[in-house]
Amino acid sequence: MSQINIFDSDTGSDPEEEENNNPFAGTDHMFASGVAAAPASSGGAGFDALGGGPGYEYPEEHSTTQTTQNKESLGGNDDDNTTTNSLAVPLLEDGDNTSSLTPSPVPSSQSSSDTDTTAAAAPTATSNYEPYENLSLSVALAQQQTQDSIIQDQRDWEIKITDSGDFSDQWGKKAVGYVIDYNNKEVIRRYSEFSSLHSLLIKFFPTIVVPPIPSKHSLMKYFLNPINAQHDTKVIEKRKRKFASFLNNCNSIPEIKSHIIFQKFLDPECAWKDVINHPPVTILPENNLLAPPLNQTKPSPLHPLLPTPNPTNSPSSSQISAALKDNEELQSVAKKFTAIEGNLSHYLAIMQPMLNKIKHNKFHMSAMSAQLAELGAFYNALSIGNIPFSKLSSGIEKVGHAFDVKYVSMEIFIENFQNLIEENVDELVKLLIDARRVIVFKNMKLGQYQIVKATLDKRNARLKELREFEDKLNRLDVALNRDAAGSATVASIVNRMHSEESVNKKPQNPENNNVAETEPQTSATQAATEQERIKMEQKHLQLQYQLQKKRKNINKYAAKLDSLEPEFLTKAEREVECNRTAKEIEKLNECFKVISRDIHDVNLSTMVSLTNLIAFIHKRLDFMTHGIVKLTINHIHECLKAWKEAKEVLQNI
Amino acid sequence: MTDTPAKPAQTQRFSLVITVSDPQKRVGEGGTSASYVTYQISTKTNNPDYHSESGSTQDIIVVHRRYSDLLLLHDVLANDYPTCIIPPLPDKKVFQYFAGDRFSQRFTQKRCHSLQNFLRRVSLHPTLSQSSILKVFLTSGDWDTYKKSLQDSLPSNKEDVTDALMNAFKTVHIQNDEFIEIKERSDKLDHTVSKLDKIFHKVVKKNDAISEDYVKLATALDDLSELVSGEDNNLAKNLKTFQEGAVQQSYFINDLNKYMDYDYLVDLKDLEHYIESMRQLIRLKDQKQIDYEELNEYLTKSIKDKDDLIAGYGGGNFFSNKLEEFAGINQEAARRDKITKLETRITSLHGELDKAKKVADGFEMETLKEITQFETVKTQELKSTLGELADQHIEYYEKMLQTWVKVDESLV
Repeated sequence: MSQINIFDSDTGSDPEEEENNNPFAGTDHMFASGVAAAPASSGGAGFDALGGGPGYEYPEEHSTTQTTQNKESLGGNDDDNTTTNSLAVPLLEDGDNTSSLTPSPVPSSQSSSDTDTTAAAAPTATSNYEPYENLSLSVALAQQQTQDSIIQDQRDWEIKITDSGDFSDQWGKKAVGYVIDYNNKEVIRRYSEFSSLHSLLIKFFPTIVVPPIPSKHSLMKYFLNPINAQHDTKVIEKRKRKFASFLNNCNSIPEIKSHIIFQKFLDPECAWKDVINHPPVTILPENNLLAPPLNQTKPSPLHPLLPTPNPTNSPSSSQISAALKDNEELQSVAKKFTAIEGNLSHYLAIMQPMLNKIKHNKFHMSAMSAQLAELGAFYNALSIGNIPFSKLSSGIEKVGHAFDVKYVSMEIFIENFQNLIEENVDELVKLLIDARRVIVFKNMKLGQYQIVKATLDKRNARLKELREFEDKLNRLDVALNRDAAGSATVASIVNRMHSEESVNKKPQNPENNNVAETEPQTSATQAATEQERIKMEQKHLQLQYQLQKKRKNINKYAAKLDSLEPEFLTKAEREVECNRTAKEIEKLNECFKVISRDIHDVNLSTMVSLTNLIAFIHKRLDFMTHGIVKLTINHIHECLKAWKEAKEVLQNI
Repeated sequence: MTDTPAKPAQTQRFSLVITVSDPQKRVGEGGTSASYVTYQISTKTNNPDYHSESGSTQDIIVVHRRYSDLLLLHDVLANDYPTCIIPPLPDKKVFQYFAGDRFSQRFTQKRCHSLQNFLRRVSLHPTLSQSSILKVFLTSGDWDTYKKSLQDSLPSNKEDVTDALMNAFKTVHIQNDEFIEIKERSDKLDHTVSKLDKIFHKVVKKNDAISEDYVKLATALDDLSELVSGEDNNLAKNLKTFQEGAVQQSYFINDLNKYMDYDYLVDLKDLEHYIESMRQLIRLKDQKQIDYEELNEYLTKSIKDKDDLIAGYGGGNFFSNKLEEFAGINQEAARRDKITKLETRITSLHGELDKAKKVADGFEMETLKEITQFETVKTQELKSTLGELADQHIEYYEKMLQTWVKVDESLV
């Protein structure tokens, strides 16, 4: 908990970000959505129990965290949570709408009424062939209405793109603008602004799968269609849909919804150029690993101290799993992640080729519909051009009409097919690809964790080693001193050791040292002669020489003192080393706390995001399945009606 | 040919329904020839002539014939009835012989359908349906011997071809308005039908591709459903249901495609051929008319020459006159000689002209009759093929509707 306070005090400096002052506001939203996903939970570990909690169940855990966190961070925002839509919520509504559509025969009855009008119009069409075009158009329009309802039910969104068109911004530059309607306020944003919002969101939320925006025009298109491509209404329509989907999907992610950048994007008062040239955009960290993962723009003093793994030096998965060994909670989370990641990559493996197939299918169908249009035209030619057919011609005309209906209906089907299937699958594929980014970030964070932990362990071991050695020496000293009182031999050894130590202590000034040390020695032993002393001294020098030599050998392999065995260090060096290591450990402990918290945050946030993603995929798939079946049935109804009419007329000849 | 006007009335009395079915591969007998395909031809008629062998008019007469038999029938008919539009046979498709799939189901089925069209057209034709060769073809077990004797005696119609080529660039001067219209119409029809044929070919191909797409989509859906099955059983079930629908759809598309490929396309092709046959007849008629017109021209020229000679202005120009003078030819005698020659020519030409006129007029009449016949057959055919096309589509959509409604209902 103390960490939170540190962060909080850190951030007060920036007045720009008042709304976003609490770095964990987003987190709490996330927790809330976690609750929504899995409401029933009892007990669990709070933040402080980070190391423990064997029965740790990830998504359920958030409720407790939420309650503890909400108190200080959220306050009034709480009621938001109940209405807040996690990705899953609006989609659930979608599903409801679809099912409410299912039992009611609305599409069929409406389509039958369409065809009734066609039937009514048909006789006139046979007598004079002119109103033909209008006829199929009316069919098209009526159909559009029924079929829109199938796709439209995902359109009861808070944010709408109501219009698009050329506009010139305050710099006089002309571009295609998209009018966003949110809370009855209208904002005009351009593609490039959407694009920059998207990339900013990615930077701000390394742990959240960011909804995709439509991709840029391919260069090929410019070559093939240089004048039209930019303003091609189809492209713009498609973008309108996709942008609406993007904004609403963002809006359904609480962290993004509440984020200042996103809110400013929807604020007509804000010029986007100003937004991207001011904090928090400008204070985004260079490396997202060195900032609090859930709040990139709230730097902590400790984050820059964290190691920066990159794909080349990041620890291997086996190292990471080794680092997690003593942390059951993280281990179980890791296991869950492995399952989810495997799942996601399976999805991607299926959906990517599926998208290609769908594109092929669409291509084939549009080729087909072009042929059908021609067929309709030629049947009409057949019926008109041949007078002796007169009895037959109405029949032929009807067949032509059936082909025309099939063509129009197919065009609509293709259009809807594209909206419903291709664009959705495309979106899912992009989401899945973005999920990879989140997973990579999480793994990098784990790498950081591993590095910090490994270093900390090493330092701790070192300190322990040093201290134990010191301890051993002290114990030996005490024992020897105790025994020295009773035994001259022991006393002489003690004496020798002391002098040895003193030699070691100040190797640069042995004489001086010896003089100072010998006096208490003589008083303690009496029996020591000058000769002995010189002899001993020689011995000591020899020892020291040996020590130096050894160290030299070792130094070849390790340049630093801290990699030396404690035996090879002098007492003073040991002390220095001890202090240094202790300090380092202190800092590392801080870091470890930070990274542990980070890992915890990242795991939570990522897990929620990924779980939501999977739920989103499921919802979308379900929605698509229902939608496409409806579309197909409508299409079939239209064609069947037309053919039945044709048959009737043919029979009456 | 003179008795043709009486015939149609007679033919109305007898129905003649011929069905071609069941293409069978036969191994060549005695190792002499390669394998071939026979088609079962069943005839149902109330014409007692056909039932001399069996008895009851209710019986269905069944024979097995191969393509070359039908070809012979066609050639004989073409030879015997030059003024009739002989329904065309399917192409020989020499290429298929090399490609080796001459016995494939697709090829034989299509040919079978086309042969059926041929025989139906013959049976609907007032003159052709009464021909004795048709009766022999449809009933006789001795067809093979008949065929052998016929094959040698049948004159080759090469001459006609060269003749037609020679006159290909000549056009009729005074064209009957009716024929101009007929020609225009047939051109337009031919154009439309061949376009339809081409587009249908493409449609069939595209349908194939789409059907394949559905199969591929189904496999992807299958994978997805398997992947999801652990987590969201409802979704897995829905995906599975949808996948089954997609598979069904691909089957239905294949069924419809098979119909379009095997039947409708053949019908279109046959219609094209039939139109071509009709145009050939018109061309032949034009030929006769050209013959007549040329004769007429010649005659007018001769008469003019004669008149010139009589009037005294030299036949030929000044130089030839001088030349003849030098040669010592008595100009006056030569002139008289020429005039008498021309006179005899003119009288013979008059006779010829009358004959040609008769032929041309008769031919024109026959042709018009044929064309009316052609129109009725064509109308009938269009009606039935389009009806069939509509039926097939209705069946297709109904099956689809059933499948998808079922899918829709079982979605959770």
